[in-house]
Amino acid sequence: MRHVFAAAILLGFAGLPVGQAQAGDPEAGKQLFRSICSLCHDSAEGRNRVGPSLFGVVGRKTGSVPGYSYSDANKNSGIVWTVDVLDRYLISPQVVVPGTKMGYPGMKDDQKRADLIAYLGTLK
Amino acid sequence: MLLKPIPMGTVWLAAMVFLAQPLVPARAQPGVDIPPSVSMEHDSVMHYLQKIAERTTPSGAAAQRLMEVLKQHMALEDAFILPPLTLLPALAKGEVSPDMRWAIPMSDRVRTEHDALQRVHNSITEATVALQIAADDEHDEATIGFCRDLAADDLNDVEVTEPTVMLIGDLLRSRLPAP
Repeated sequence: MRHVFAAAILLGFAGLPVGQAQAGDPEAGKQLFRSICSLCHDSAEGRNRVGPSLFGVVGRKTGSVPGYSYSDANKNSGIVWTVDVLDRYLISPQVVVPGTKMGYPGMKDDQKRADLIAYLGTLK
Repeated sequence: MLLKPIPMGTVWLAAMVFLAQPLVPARAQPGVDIPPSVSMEHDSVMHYLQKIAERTTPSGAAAQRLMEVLKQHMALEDAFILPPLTLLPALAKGEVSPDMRWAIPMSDRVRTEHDALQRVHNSITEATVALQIAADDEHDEATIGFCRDLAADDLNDVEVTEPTVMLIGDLLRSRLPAP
């Protein structure tokens, strides 16, 4: 049991999917991305829109997409977008990064978040 | 009926007085004037949404909801966000005068009500996403495009408009003598 706990901690520091309650379906997540996230984000590398491109977002440090003007809140948060952090962020972006200019109020459905994050993980 | 001829001197005097008047008010009146370009943009957005709102499909209901949220937002903008922007052309020319003082409390309100304004922006985003989802289901590419433009416009308020209004207040406070 102690080993499982230690492994979970290690995975957490490595940014791997610890704490995500459900397995995500990337195909369902792709549809969510198209209907929700695409309002402001593109999935293609280097294509920033109202929001930065989400290509390669999983594992990326905040405020690091070239050519996108981030809020100070985002640039200075020091966050790395691990699966776990993304999950918490998507519940309520303004709680995880106070002052972010992302206007999306949050996705409360656990399965939808898992699906979306699974899709974001394919963008690389 | 014949009118009495007006003395030529009176005509000249009237002409001089008329020409001495500014063609537009020198300073916008608080709570009344907003930049016409913004006003037209608001009208255009609401006109498009009104058309969509007449539908009996989910996009119609989503457009109605978005209109409600935008009306709240535009009422706040008209009350204290947009009027100070009418001073920008004069301020950009280096002109600051005491009759601009009305803009300071408006600017202060943008700063103190920042969190409430942010919540309204969140509501706009949420309603815009709902319309985009409905439009996507109905294969309505024009409305999807409209939603994306609206998202950009909303972010423009956060990134440009509201900070500009705060700066206008700071500038006026620093350049005008204390009342």
